[in-house]
Amino acid sequence: MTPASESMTSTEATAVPDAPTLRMVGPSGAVCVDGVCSIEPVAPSGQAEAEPS
Amino acid sequence: MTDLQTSAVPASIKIDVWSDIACPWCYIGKRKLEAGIEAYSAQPGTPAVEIEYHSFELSPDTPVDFEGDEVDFLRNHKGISAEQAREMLQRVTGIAEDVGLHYDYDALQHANTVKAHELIHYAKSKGLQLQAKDRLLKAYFEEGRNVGRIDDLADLAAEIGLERDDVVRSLESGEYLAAVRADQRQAREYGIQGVPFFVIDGKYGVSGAQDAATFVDVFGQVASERETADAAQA
Repeated sequence: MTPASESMTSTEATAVPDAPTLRMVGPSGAVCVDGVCSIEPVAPSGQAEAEPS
Repeated sequence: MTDLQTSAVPASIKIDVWSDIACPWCYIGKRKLEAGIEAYSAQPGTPAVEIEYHSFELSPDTPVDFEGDEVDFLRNHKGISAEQAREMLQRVTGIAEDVGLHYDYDALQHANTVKAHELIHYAKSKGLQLQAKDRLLKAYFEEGRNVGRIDDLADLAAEIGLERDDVVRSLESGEYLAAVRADQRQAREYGIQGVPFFVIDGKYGVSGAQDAATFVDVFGQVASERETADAAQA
């Protein structure tokens, strides 16, 4: 299980037809994916629209 | 534990949280979220904040009675070297300490968490979801308790005031398994791949364990945009 030591700004946007769309806000924090919690910053998940900067 | 639902006049801000029990960032993120809510709620005139937890299984293939410790799990199931795994656990333990959590990976029993998620849904039906979530996380990370077996889960449930025999009945029958699967389906629809993941007012996504200040900023942004929308409609 690993901590992400740094956060990063959310900029990714993915969209899938008919899926709810979330507007990503704030930086991306540490997450666990597939049972592993990475030290490295992880790109934001979610059907997200990037927050305008 | 603290009831996080604050009393305020404006419509509450709803936070839907996807997380797992076997997720060190989820417990850390929960503490940071609570700190953010406390700081935000201290500001005058702010809306109440309502939290609902949703199920996310990080490792659904984990056996109910996994033999071995966390290093064994990461090495054997995730292909991570023992040295790297120990370093990872040491780092996350240190970060947990920073938010007042005392992770004990020597005692931790890696477990399949699907029944724990069913219990959280059961507890929600009794108005005790937040208590159940917190009790399970503490049991897993700080107390080395098993959160995969029904008997152990029932003991934990009884500690927060749930009726033990009825919990056993519910978990044995899979009463809330469909609710767990529905949460997972909704996570997939949102495209959630990692946890913790926070959905605010059904519109805003926040990924990962954030600092309390980030949550305060996000709540403020949500409230501000609500006011702008309300003014436009007036």
